[in-house]
Amino acid sequence: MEDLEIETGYLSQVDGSTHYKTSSTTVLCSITGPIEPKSRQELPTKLAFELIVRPAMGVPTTREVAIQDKLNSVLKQIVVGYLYPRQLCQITFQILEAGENVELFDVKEIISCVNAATLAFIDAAIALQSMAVGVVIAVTYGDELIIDPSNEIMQNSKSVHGLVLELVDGSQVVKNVLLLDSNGDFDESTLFKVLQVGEENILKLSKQFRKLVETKIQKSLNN
Amino acid sequence: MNVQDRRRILGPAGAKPLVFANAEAKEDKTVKEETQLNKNLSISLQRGIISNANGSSIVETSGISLLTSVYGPRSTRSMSFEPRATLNIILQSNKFDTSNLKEISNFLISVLQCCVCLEKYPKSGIDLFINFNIEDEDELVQYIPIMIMSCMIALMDADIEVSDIIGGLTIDHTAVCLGQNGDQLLGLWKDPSSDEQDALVLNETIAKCQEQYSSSRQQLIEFISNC
Amino acid sequence: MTDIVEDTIDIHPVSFAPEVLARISPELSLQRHLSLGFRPSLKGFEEFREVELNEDHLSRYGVEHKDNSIIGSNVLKCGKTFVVTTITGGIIEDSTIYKNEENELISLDDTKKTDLTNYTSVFPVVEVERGRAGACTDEEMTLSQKIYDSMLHSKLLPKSSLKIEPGIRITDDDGTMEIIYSDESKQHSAEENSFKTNRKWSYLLYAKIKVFSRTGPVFDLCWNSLMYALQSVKLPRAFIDERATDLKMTIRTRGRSATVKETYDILSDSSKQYPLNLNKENIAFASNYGTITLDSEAKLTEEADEEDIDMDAVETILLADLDTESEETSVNTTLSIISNDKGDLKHVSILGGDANISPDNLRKSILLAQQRAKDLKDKL
Repeated sequence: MEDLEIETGYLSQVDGSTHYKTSSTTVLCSITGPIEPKSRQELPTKLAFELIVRPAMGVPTTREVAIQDKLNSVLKQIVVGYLYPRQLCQITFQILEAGENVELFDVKEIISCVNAATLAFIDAAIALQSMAVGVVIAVTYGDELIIDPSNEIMQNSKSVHGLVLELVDGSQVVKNVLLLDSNGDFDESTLFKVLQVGEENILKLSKQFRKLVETKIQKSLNN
Repeated sequence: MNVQDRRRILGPAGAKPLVFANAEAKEDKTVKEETQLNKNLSISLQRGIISNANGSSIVETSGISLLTSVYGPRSTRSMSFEPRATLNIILQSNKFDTSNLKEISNFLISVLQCCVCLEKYPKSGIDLFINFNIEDEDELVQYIPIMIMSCMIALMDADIEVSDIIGGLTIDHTAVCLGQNGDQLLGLWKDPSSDEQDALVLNETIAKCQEQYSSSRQQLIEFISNC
Repeated sequence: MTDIVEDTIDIHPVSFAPEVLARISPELSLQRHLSLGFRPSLKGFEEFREVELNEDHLSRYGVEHKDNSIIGSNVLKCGKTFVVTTITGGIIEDSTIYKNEENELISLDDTKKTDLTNYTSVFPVVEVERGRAGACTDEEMTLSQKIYDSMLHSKLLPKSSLKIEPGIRITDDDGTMEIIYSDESKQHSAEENSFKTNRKWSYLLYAKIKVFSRTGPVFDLCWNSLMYALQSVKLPRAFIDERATDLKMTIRTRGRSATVKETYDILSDSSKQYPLNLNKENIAFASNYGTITLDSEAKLTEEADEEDIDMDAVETILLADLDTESEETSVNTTLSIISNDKGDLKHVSILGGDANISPDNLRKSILLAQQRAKDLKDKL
């Protein structure tokens, strides 16, 4: 997690954006909203989402639709939707580097997108009730847990897990599991170990995120 | 394999479907001819199995199983006023190609329009979906009587008013659709591949169908009144 | 404005029949049911729907002999919903799967068994019938993708199971044809070797999954139906016509013309077949769960009088096998688990919503998934 490179406000024409780069995966997230929706998208009591994922290579397929589905269910949980009735928020993700074999995995992209979106929401000043922060964990055949594994490790691991937690109270408290996407060969105890190790790392990561937001705000106050 | 279709997982583009060398094809044919005679005896009917449709039916014979679902009468997208309901039939098959299915669907629509009381449902659409679940017969013409039967049951299951119980029969690669106790000829279908026939033979075929029509009609009525 | 209306107006509480309330306020209807201890479908909280199976009736290797191209099938009925899965096959030249000959040799090595690239999946197309013609819905696309991914990661289908060892069809002088497979007959080995080819083929499996009468989430039904269908799959022996093998040399010299390659077609034997070799220990069944927070205000008043309700107490309950519209719209914290009867997990996905997923509920659902998998396994 040390080699994380994050830049918010990366794009100038949208309300919020993040350029999010881990050791292997790079995504660009842009948020426009709240804006006026098309009539078919409009929800009478809350904010509507339009979520688009563009792959690093080629055109979007069923794979991207499945990623969109997962991201949508995570992100709609953290936004205070009732503050923006009959309005729309457009979220676009451009995967710049998948960092994994796209025929086998999508978890690194999903987690990077979630983290990027949380920061982009803050950049776009859209009200959040919590933060969604995620990690990828691979469990090797030697039952070793590896955070943010490389593609090679994932291909030869026993199971791969993507975990997103909902953090409240200054990112000190875990409120809920927003997403768990576990595949491979594992049992109950491994799953709970993943949840425990995942929680520790997510709390660590969220501190890093808050620091980043803090310096950003401090800078804009000074100007 | 359509490479353009990004909404389905179609697998690698270079793949070819399995082609079975038909060594035993000839044997099969003779067996089939025999069973054809007894077909009308072994027909199974079911209705009301699909809960999210207005009406549905399954009609099965030894080599054919059709599942028909009716959605409607429901609102249509058309902005103009339609005094009668529009009937639409969509056939879903793995075996037959779409152009043939489209033709059959148009044929069925024209036949069913004779008996469905479309004027009772203005501004509405009635959509029928016929799924070919078992399709062992090679000629589309064999499916027509079964399709008409399953449509009739599904329509009645959906409580859609019909003015007549129509039926179809297939003899010598010709499907004949009859109504009004067999007095009215509603439609005639011949597969393009079958041999030419002169008018005399055709008349004979129709006469034969008329004889058998009442028994198939009776079967349908019995099924409906027992429900 | 001068007159003040003195008449009193009676206000009657509006009451609805249960099925009407379920339509206009699914959330309230669900909460009312739950407060009484059961669900709108009248199931208990942790009760599953009964599953009925129709063994392979649709394929050419099924109960009756048929002349179609379906090589495995299943019909699964669960509650009102039923799923029809048919599996068909395809053939692809291995050069597009394996990068080179070396790579392929490595894949046979046991030490590399763990590598995910040695496994493949079926290519599923899910269709959910809902009375609309036209393009796939997002639900259908997500389902297909999830099935594809889950099967790949469960390491159920090794690529080696789909390799083709083609035979040769020889036409004698008197016109009778015979197909020779190298592993079946030793006597022809000399002839066989002379036709040996460097090209390699693999089968591909396609699954068409049709869902009728959808009443709730269907991923687990589709997955389970596919599991049963896969176990019924038989692969035909494949062969190359002798005349085509002769053509080989000329093809080589002429270069890479695709039209010439077509003559090298590989055919499937309609009389010889073998069951698909699956990693049996990785066969697992899917089930789904949801958690919902009980709304104490939605309780029926009679109940409320009896007990002293603590408004702050949050009670979260686990529901197994989500079904009906009211559960699907109101329960937004869902778990999907693919497990075998021994409790080995192949896939777990949690989508968080309003209700919290406690470790206890997670444990309970994993246990239920294991029991459900045992039930489903015993159905075959």
